Amino acid sequence: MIEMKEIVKHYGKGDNVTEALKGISLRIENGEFTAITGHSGCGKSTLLNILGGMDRQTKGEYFCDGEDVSGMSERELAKFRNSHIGFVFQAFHLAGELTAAENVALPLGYAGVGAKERKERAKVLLDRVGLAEKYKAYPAKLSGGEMQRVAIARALANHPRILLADEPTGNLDHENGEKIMALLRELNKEGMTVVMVTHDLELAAMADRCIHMADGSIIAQKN
Amino acid sequence: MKKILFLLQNAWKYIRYNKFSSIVLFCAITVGFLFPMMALNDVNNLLWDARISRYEDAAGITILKYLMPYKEEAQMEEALKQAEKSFETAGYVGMAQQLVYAKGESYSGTVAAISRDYLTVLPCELVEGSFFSEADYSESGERTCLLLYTTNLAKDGVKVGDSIEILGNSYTVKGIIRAPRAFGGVMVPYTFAGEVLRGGEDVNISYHIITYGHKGVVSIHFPDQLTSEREKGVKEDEEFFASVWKLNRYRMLRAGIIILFTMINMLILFLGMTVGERYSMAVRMALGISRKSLFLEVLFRNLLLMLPAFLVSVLIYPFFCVFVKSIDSHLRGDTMLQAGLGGAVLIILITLAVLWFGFHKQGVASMLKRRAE
Repeated sequence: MIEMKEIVKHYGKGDNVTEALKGISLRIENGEFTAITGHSGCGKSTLLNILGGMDRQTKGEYFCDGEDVSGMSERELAKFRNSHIGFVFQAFHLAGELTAAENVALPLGYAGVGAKERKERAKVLLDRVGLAEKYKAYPAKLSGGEMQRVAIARALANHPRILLADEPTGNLDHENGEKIMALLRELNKEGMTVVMVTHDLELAAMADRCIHMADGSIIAQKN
Repeated sequence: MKKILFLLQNAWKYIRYNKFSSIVLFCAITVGFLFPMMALNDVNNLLWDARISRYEDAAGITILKYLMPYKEEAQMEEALKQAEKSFETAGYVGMAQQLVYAKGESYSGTVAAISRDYLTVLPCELVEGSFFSEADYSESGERTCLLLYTTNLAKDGVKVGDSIEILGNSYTVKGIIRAPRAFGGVMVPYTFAGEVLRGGEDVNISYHIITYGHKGVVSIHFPDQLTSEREKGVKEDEEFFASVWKLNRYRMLRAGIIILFTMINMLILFLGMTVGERYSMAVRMALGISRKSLFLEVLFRNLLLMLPAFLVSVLIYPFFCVFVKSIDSHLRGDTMLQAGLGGAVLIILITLAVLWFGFHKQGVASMLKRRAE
């Protein structure tokens, strides 16, 4: 379970301080599919970054399955990201120098998994997202939809409990966007907690819960 | 170990993928190593030059003490005492003179006439053949000589038993030794000192240096030859050393500018590379790479470029030397390796410092955001 209490995030210093999040309190149950919506600059991506341990809040408390994430050191946070969180980005963020399989296996390598096991798991995961035949393909040779599926497979590599997706369909056409959403939905049905940031209300409607943000605050929640 | 191998593979793939920037960086590092090597050689060169004193042991030592950071002064004093002892027993310890002799190609080198006990003072190692025996010091005996291993003669294939011609006289090579280069390229028994000296006033500019473990250096001269020089007085001495100092200051400055210039350029290159790597690093950080692993991966990337570049620069260095030598005939290569290693360590430290203090403070989210923008 994810629990956030009075999360505040400031950027800048002195007179140039921007308040990106203004006391967000949030609770997401395990296995829930949550969509966070709002206009550009409302703080939804900042919230997602804090959820994923990629950014730290200025004030407030954040617990994930009872663990105090806000009190974690850099090292603990890296381990937390590696073992608990799977990220899916709008721009895919695949390593161009690695094949699809190597990209998928990347988090496994950092977790100390051996080469043989990495290969096997990468195969299974690529098969899972329907890209078994693209095992040796480099990102430059993949379409946008395929790259996002590789990114999802990579996010699943360490069996995370939470999948965070930041505009996962933002760079995709409608057809590929639907495929990605179907995949996320499927993962959620298997028990994974999915938190997705989107400005597309149609996609948000596919989630169990929709949180609407504006100006750094949650202004509405809908189940 | 598995993880190290994984990071190493990743580093190699990254280099291979970013071919163009890697090749540019590789070439820049190679050249970047050459310059400090040359510059440091120049410093080394000036140190050697400063050791030259025409006479007066004390003056020579003063210069050395000023220029060299002596840690073992006692050793130097001991070397001096031994040298003085040799001086007393042998009449003169040795002498050196520029000469030209031929074997295939003309070669200009230094020949030193040495006493029997000289080799006990000088730290040298016999590579081939033997040292001088009692018979070699006999005026009626066969003329023999020792070759310094680093001289062109030894490298060109002159071996023990061959003869070389020194100022019209034939000398049989008795042994090949490894010793500090300043000692002289060829050594003959002091019995033949008269033959290898050009004589006249030239003798006064000849010098002899004993090195003691590369740390202490004393200058030994020949009272008979130097009497006239001494008579010219202290004033000339001062003028002589003042000119040496002036020259040294200029060369030191020149070497310093080259090193500074090279290091700044290398730093800029590495900073540029690090900025370019932000995105790839940020992705890895988002995937949960630890700080230690991140540093290792970046370090491996840099090392994979730097080590081969260093090796290449060491390999092409001699050719580069030949080119520079045609401009600056004083060049020597004694500090090549130290300079290269020193440069490599410095660059690694700078890169790590940039990563630690600059890069990590940025935060993963902001770096990814910047890339997306």
